[in-house]
Amino acid sequence: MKTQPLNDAMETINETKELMASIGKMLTEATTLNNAGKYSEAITLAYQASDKIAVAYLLIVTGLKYSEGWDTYNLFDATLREPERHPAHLQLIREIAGDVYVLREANEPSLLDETTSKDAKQMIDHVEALRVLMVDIFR
Amino acid sequence: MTYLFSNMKRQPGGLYTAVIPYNDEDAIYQAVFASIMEASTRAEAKGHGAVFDPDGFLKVLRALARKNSVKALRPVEGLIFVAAWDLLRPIFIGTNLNFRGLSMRPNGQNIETADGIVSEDVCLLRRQLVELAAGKPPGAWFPEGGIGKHFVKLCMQHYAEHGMNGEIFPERQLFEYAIDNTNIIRLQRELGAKLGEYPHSGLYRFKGLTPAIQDRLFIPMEPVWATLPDGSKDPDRFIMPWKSDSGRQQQHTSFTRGISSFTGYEVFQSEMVSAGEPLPEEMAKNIAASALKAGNRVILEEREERAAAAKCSPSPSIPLEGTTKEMYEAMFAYGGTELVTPLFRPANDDEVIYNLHVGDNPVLASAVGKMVPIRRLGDKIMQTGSLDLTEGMREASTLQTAKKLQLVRQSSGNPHFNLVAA
Repeated sequence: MKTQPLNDAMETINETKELMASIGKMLTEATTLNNAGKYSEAITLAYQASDKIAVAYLLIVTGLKYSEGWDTYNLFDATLREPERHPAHLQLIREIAGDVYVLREANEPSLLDETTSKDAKQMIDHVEALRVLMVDIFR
Repeated sequence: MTYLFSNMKRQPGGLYTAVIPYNDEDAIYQAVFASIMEASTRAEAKGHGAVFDPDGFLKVLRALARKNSVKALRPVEGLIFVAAWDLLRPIFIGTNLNFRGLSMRPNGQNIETADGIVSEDVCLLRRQLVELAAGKPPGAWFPEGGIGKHFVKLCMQHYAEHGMNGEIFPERQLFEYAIDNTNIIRLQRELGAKLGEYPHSGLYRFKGLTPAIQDRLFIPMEPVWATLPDGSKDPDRFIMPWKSDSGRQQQHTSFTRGISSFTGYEVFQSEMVSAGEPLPEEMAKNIAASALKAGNRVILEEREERAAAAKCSPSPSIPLEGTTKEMYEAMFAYGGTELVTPLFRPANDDEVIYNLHVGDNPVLASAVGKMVPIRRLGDKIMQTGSLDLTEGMREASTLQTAKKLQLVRQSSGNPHFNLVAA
């Protein structure tokens, strides 16, 4: 899954709060799309939201900026490499980010036409859980 | 299937996982394997925009189930991936296919050869993964880096601990992937794989010898056959070696018999490796073309020999459409299994299909790329990769040492050399 267009996103969004709010809006929109029967569009938007969460965490925790060519796994790996930054949240990061990993492996782009409403909801719910966790960490 | 539970290992997050090789004595396992393998192959075909052929798939299952002689090792081995949060509810989430191959690695002016494997169709099933995610208990977590990476590592450890068919311990794995498959690229990079270079591409596909190959100057070469653990010639693997007179340059081409999981027809997985001082491209091209001409001749001659032997043999009564057990019994009773029911069937008797891996060698990629087309699967451009399995072996709990192979001159007859364990 490409992290398109993350560079643009990072240039225009400077405040973490704004970023997390925009992610919240993306997930709301994804839910709307899912309810409208546009399941593959909904799950794709949830992917992009998870990319943004990973970018935000990476930036705030490590100070590293997104590099061209990285995919979401690189971003999440980076978040997991420094668990000592947030020891209180380590377990939850591992659990929730791990779930998002696996759901993205399951819902690979070439198979998105098989997406069901349940698949999209599962993905949206997990990304929302990750967003809530990040809001808690960034607070 | 008690062996399934004994093979399951608990990972740090609480997930139990195992890779289980094809078992020809367990009908339940075979049924499960066939079902998962078919679903994986269908998903793989769809992902590449390719067509799944049910008849071709049946040929793959038969190849998995048969040995080419009573004593010989099976040249193809399937692994099934199993995961469970609760051992009473195992989920079969994917499979892959592995062919006994050859590992060639440049070392200074020389090329080191050893046993290898060619792997394909590592595929995780979407529905089963989703089911696994949905069933995750509170407080548990998946292996870091994702399920795909975890199972590729488990496969490496499986071969380190148990070997292929329990006897061949491969040093290196050759594989292919679609150039837009970011999942595979990520996990293989993380495991330290060497990936081919695009746009040259390091992987080519062709049927028979192209005019560009045939037009090149021919340099005579003789095959070097690999041997099986019992010392007999392995009919499915050989190398066409070339060494300069000064000894400062080498360029070897390996040939491994395999099968297309989509069509069920024989496909030779070949690899070209060079060592020492870089050769001029024209020279590399002549050597590459000569190796392919010589290798092609060997394969066609061997086919003719098999066909002639089959004609001379009394016709046995083999229930080809029967159960695996019935076929085995009839074939073993006859004692001529290889001749009567070849494991690998060519799509065309006069033509050999090749997947040629050149990897990240720019001179070879450029030379070969001018003679044969790059590999495409469906609408995807494919690329080659290789993975050092000795890393996995070092991590494995039971360490096995991969056997180095040496070129040894035979006292008489052809071929002149054999690859034997050092």
